[in-house]
Amino acid sequence: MRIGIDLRCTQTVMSRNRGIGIFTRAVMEHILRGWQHTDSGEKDEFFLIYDPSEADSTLKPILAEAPLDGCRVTWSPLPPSLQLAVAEPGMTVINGDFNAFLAGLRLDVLHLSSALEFDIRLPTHIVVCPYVVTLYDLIPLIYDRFFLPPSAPLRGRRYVERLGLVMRADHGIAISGCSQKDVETFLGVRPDKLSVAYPAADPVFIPRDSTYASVDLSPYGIIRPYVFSVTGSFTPNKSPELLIAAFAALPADLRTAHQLVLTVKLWPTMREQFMALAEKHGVAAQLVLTDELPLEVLLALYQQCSIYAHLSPYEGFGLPVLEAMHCGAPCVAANRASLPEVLGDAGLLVDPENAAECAQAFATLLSDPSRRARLSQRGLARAEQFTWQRTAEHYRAVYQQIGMQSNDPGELRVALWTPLRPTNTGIADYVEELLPYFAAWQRESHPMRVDIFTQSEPDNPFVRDNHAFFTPTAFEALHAWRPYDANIYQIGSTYAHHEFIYKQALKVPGIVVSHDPILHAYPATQVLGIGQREAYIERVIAEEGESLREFVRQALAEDAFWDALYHEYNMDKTLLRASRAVVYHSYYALRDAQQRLPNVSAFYIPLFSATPPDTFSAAECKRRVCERLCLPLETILVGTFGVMARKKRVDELIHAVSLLRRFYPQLALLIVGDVSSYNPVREAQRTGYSTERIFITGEVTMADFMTYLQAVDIGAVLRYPTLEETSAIISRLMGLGKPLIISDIPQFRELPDECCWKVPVNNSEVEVLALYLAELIENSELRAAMGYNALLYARTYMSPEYVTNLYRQVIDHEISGAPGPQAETHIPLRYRHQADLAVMMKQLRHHLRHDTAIAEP
Amino acid sequence: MNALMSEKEDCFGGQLRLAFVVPRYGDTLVGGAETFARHLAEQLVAHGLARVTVLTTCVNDLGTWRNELPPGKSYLNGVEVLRFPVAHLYRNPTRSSQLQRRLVQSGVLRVTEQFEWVEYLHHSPELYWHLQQNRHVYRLAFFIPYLYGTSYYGSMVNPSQSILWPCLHDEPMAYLAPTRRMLQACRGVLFNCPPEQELAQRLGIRPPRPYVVGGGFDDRRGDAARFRERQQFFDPFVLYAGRWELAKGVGELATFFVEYKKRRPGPLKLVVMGNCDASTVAHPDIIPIGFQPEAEKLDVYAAADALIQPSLMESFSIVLMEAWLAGAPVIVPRHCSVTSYHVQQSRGGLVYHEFEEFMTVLDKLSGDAAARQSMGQSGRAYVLREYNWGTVLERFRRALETWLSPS
Repeated sequence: MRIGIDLRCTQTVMSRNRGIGIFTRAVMEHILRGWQHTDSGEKDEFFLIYDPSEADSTLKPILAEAPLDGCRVTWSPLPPSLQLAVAEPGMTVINGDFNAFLAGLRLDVLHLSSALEFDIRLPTHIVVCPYVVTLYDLIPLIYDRFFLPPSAPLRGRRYVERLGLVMRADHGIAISGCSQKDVETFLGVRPDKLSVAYPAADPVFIPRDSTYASVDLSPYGIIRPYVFSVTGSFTPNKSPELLIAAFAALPADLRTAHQLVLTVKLWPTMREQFMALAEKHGVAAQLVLTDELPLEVLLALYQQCSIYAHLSPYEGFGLPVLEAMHCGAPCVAANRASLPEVLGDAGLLVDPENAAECAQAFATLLSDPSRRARLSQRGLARAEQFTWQRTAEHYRAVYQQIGMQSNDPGELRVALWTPLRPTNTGIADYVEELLPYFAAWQRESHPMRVDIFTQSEPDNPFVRDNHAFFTPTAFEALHAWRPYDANIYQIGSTYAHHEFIYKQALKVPGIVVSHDPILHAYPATQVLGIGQREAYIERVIAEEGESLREFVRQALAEDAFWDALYHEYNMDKTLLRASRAVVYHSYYALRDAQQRLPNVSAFYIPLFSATPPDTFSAAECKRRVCERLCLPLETILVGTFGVMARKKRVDELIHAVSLLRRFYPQLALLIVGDVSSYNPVREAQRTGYSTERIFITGEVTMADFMTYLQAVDIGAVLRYPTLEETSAIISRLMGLGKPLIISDIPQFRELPDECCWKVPVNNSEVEVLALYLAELIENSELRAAMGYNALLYARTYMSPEYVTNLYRQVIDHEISGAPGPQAETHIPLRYRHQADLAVMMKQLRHHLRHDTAIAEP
Repeated sequence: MNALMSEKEDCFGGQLRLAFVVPRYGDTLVGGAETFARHLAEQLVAHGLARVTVLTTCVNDLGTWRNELPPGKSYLNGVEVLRFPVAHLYRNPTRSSQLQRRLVQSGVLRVTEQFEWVEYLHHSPELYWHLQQNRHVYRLAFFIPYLYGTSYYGSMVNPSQSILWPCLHDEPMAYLAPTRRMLQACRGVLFNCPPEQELAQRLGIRPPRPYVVGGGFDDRRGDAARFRERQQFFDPFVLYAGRWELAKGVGELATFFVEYKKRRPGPLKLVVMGNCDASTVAHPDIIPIGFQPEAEKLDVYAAADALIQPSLMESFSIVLMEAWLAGAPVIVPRHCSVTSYHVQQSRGGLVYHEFEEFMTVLDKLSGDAAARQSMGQSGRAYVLREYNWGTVLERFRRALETWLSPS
């Protein structure tokens, strides 16, 4: 077996000499020393994962004392992105680098010794091996108002992500039954994936003997018998004020005869806080406050105290109680959380918030030395039950159980290459909206895991919680470890956002989802944009054929790149030939690809229409928008959406609206989107059109965007020229039951006429727009009927469930050669014919430009 | 029989299927290309030489390009006609007009603009689709004339089965790169006369498998007396036949004739036969008689002293043949290679350049009846020798053999 152990908690300043670090060091020492290798003959190997930028692990010198007989050990340094000394990269990098690192180790099981500490960089997902986590406590979650306040959302977000990592572990080993129960209750982890292995105390903690009795505690101000506690700062789980209050409630004689000794890590101002509290309770003279102490002093404190008191309302285990028992100290502990598990009946359990009860317990013991002696003996016996050997044995069993189980959960593994938000692209929105439906479908019946490869640091909580997301560079290691069953590449025309996807799609064939079928931007951006004209020409020739050379040269010489080349030639043949399947969102694009490359495996999957948010009704949205714009409710709102550009033809829409205003004063045009690149209203004013009752919102939040979508009475989606892309706005509006006016371009033509009226892009465009708008303004029943048709169509053929099912069919085709989805199932013949005509016209247009005849189909 | 045909078909077994693609089709249309196409189609069908299907549009008026005629199948004189609607898909009419204007005025468009200009022509995607879906039905498809979207794009559907019948003129559009590409990408080119083929060569076009066939004519005669009696018109006249438009050279003709009349007062008239707006010929010696029915047209030719064909834009000139069949000599400009070629070959007329020669020619023909008769007879013999249907169909058959051969 190959077992990885994350030892960073034995290195960090925060943990190495405290509970977690001490625990990890001790349990690992016993695990390694007691390891018996498996029957295969070859020794099992431990990979001790550490941060080379931090101090050496506290385990290192211990292991160096004597060789290990039962196993081999390899110290494995983490790559730079995971080292604390290196500025923290985004989680995408951490995910990728950590998993790639683990993939290289080829582990059978990984043990995360501290999954919830932020100074230990961990990914959100570990996909390359099963892993086990040590569960200490969920204190930040239980006391979330204190530890994860709304004022620190990032901290809360990070903690929740770490909890996700814990929840996905193959097994969790809690340090107490209480912690296990908390993980079951708060995280919903199944009990069969959890177990308990109690810590033990350092063997240095022993009862008083003549050796230690002589340690003089007077230099610490301890001059009388005392009640002792190792406590923490003023956090709700520690609440040292409860102990002070309890001590203050002692009868005066006992109070004055004893001191209260508190050992606590004294951060700045804490001493003053403790003293102020003690003052308040009138026990300042009895309080002795010490910072963390040398071990022999701590030992003496345990051994010489009259009572060890531990009144923390919440502990994951309560190691000081165990240490105190080992030292023979009679113990009083809170009857909360894990402390009853530790103390059992070897001490007194009290309600920590009942000062009188605590004081009574103290008084009872302080007044009764014989009882203290009995509890001391009982404590010593109980403490013997907690041993490192037992703990180590439990961990060994878990390693072997988890490490021996099949590493193949039998689910389909899909690598999804995509941009994600905050990258500003519609494809990111598309993927992020689709993924939850994939997840729902996966949960129901189709085991599939989708890992995401992306360049950005995703800010979508669903993505972060439910998907492992990696940098592209991690793919090689992950794919080598276990090849993905399918790769899905979401590709658009913006080269900067999709370059990494494009290159990967050429390297590892997969399923290309072509959102913008014309990829001319790629050679344009790569070579022409930096003046390499000849290289660009060669790229075009390589895609389209030598016989086009003269035309391309002429087009460049005549400065006709945009009209004659950019919007005409797809430049995607290299990509299509390299792909195992291609998905298009329009039947037109599908047919065009099939004509250009008959052997391509191409499929049609419509854009989906996400279920609208269940916040406000359309009527309420309209009321709000009208109120915001100071319009009467009777206003007929026509909306156009998205980042504004000339190709959105809003100028023509404004022209049509200005023609109609005289006859339809209730008409208003809403332009919802970013106008920083192109302001159609300004253009309209410049050309003399009236812009009365035309409103621009600028860029809006997603919530407001949805409100505007729901508020409009008529949607207008005009576009020309295009890169043959479809429109998510159309899908959204149809899903909201809105009648639509759209451009009569090939990829829009297949949308049903019953809900989408098409406007030709020619000299009659404005006139037809005006006629359509007039008809819809006048006829509310018609609007309602078209809206209903749109809703019906969207719910039948654009539902996310339908779309995800189509995706699965494509994936099945990719993996097993199944036929794949057939577009003809729901696109009527008349629309398919229109698409074929449009494809044919494009072909003829191109054929004429070639020097020689084109081979017949 | 042609051994190159399949067993089930041969050129003269009547099962060879050909398509004729022409923007307009009908028996009332005025236009040389449309007339050529119709006559050849009807002859091929009538003689059982091939089964011709005419693929055309629903357009009747080239000025409006509106789909006025119903789509679908019909028959005209035994020829199957399939009509398809024109799709008005052009994107920018302002741009379209701009390009057209620049092309006509200066003849200069950038190469990319030339292809853009073709895109703005009127197209029938349904017609192209029909060609694509029926590429195994039609052995060859003939596209006539060259200047229309149906030819540019239609011939690109199945180039190896496309025969261009361009009716090429020496005009700016003939010089365009798309025209050259179209004429070089097809399977063969059908020219109407040698000068047209020479024009293609001058334009740098290397058409595959070119053949000169020409139009076919039946032997007919006209009756001059019948015309004069019917029209009650007894003055001597020279005749112009065709569309009265500037592109046909009528501006120069009118100017020259008016000047001629100033210098040669007398009864000679210029009769204009065809679509002509009377207000544009406001001169007492220029007499528009409008469109004449087919049966009466030759009578007009027969009564004329001569036919004047001033156009420089001719690819064959049907009116010359019609005039000669009626026995009338012709007068043509020297610089029209097509008509002057016919005159040279037939000795059936005279050529002129500039007004002085025009006046000399007119003097000669109007004053010398014997010369008129001689030239007229020479012209008639030329037509019957070179352009009788038997000869034309034979030339066409030989061309078909070449185009249908696998090489």
